[in-house]
Amino acid sequence: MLTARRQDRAFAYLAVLPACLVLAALLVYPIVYSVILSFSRLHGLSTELVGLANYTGLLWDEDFWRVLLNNFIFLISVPLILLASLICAVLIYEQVWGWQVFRVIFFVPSVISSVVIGLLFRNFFAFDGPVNQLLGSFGMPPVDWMSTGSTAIAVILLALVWSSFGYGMLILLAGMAAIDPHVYEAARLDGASWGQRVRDITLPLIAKPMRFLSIINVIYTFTSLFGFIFVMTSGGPGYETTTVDYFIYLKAFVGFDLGAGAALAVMLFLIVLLLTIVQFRIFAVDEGTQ
Amino acid sequence: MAVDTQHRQRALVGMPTLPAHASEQLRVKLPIFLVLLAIAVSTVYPLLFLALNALKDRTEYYANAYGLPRELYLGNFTVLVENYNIVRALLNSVFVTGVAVTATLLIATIASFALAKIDFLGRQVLFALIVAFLLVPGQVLLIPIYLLFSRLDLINNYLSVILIYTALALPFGTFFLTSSFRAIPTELIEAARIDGASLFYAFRTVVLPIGSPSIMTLAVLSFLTMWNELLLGMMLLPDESKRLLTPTIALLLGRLLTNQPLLMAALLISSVPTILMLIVFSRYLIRGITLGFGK
Repeated sequence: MLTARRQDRAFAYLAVLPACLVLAALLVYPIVYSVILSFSRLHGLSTELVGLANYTGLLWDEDFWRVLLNNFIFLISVPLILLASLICAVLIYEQVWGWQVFRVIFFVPSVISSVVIGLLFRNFFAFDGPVNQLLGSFGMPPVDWMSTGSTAIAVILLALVWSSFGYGMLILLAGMAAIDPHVYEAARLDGASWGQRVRDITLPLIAKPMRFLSIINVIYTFTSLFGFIFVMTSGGPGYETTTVDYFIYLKAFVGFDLGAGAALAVMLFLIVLLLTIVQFRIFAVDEGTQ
Repeated sequence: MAVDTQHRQRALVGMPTLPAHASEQLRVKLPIFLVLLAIAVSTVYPLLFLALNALKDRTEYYANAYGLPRELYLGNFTVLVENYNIVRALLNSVFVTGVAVTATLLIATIASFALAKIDFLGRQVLFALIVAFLLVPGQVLLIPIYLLFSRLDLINNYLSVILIYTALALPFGTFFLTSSFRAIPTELIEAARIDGASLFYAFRTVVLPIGSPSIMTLAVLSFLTMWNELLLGMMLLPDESKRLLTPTIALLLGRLLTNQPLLMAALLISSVPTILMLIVFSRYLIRGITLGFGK
């Protein structure tokens, strides 16, 4: 840290000013506005405060609970992504021939838009698509994947895991790079097999990045599925694959109920905050018992 | 890069010298290689399928979806250019992401320098606030931002998307650059100012050159997020002449479902720039994403 003179401090305030202005105008103001909107009803250009009506309206809405349940179902993706990331990281860590190339290849899905991945998986699981043709070649009947809630959710889950495991792998690899190689060497000399070394050394020592990944992916499940849902199912059939973030879009821009949309957005924020706090608690207990 | 350090550490330990290792090497490493290869194939295959079928016409796609194209058919791209305004959408996306990435870098770099290296009142509070914004989901902003920009008559104006993309990139960008600028030795900055030169001079001659890999990493990460964004781009630039590439492709879907090769060509146009970014800048990306977990 520099020992700051007076003109240095002036420079510092000038340096952070543009960032502060942008954040105040485009993040702070909209967040406050969103909270106010969630207590209002819009009539053309005028707004009328209606108290908790938007919130109670949602709580009495069966669709809302269905949609919330969907988000919790999509949480299945979190352990799947963690497992896939872990497998890839542990294997890459052995630095077999071409590991650097594998590392880049596994990250490719992470740089592709959810719109592209969604459409790609929709094509693969289309009624006349490659997956059904493969099933057909084994003499099995075709499945109408995208028109049934449960199978559509399974396909979206698969697309989610495919798009996310590369990022998880990189985070876990970075955690593993911090492990002292002498530990492995000692274990090897004691005759520990590869599997034992992974289970008894690697796993306990990457608990921290695993927790980080879990938190990030839970947030992701609640806030970043819009692209997938928009192109894969449009939330259907019915509301069977609608998630909270897609529901906000439906309420606000298809049903033109901006107050309800804002109330949903505020609830989404609270849910994300709550789940993050709960995970911190669980992990803290974890650490205490270790 | 974290994994390189580890590589060096392991080289120092002299791992592969004992003969007992050699047998284990092959017994363990060959299956590992084969599993990695299988995962790599399942990662690449969908993209290969996409690329190959973008080069077929519809009849050939239904007759031969899995083989190589019989001839190089570029008709899908011609149709996308002539009937679906794809070049316009591509240029719109290049312009919007280009300006927004530049704005993000300018604002975040100078702010991060102050936050990392200058002692001023409110520094820690400001940094904590910026980190707190990382937790706010973009959906909370969607409705108020839409209303705000409607009132300012900025719907269908590139400025709206540029502003909101920049604002959404700033919390992470400032957090990321502040963390990495902290590692720059303060003595170097003091030395640059020995003749009474301004702080801005020190910023330009010391912080920018030393921090350039981190700034580069942030540029690539922000580009990817903005290029792939759907919802805000779709809502704020609804007019077809202003529409960005990702929304264009998401909205094409309804019209193109019966022509899969045409859709594949559109998906290819959208993903090639990001995959090229990854290949060219993989070093920066991997370094940036793993910052904070490696040693």
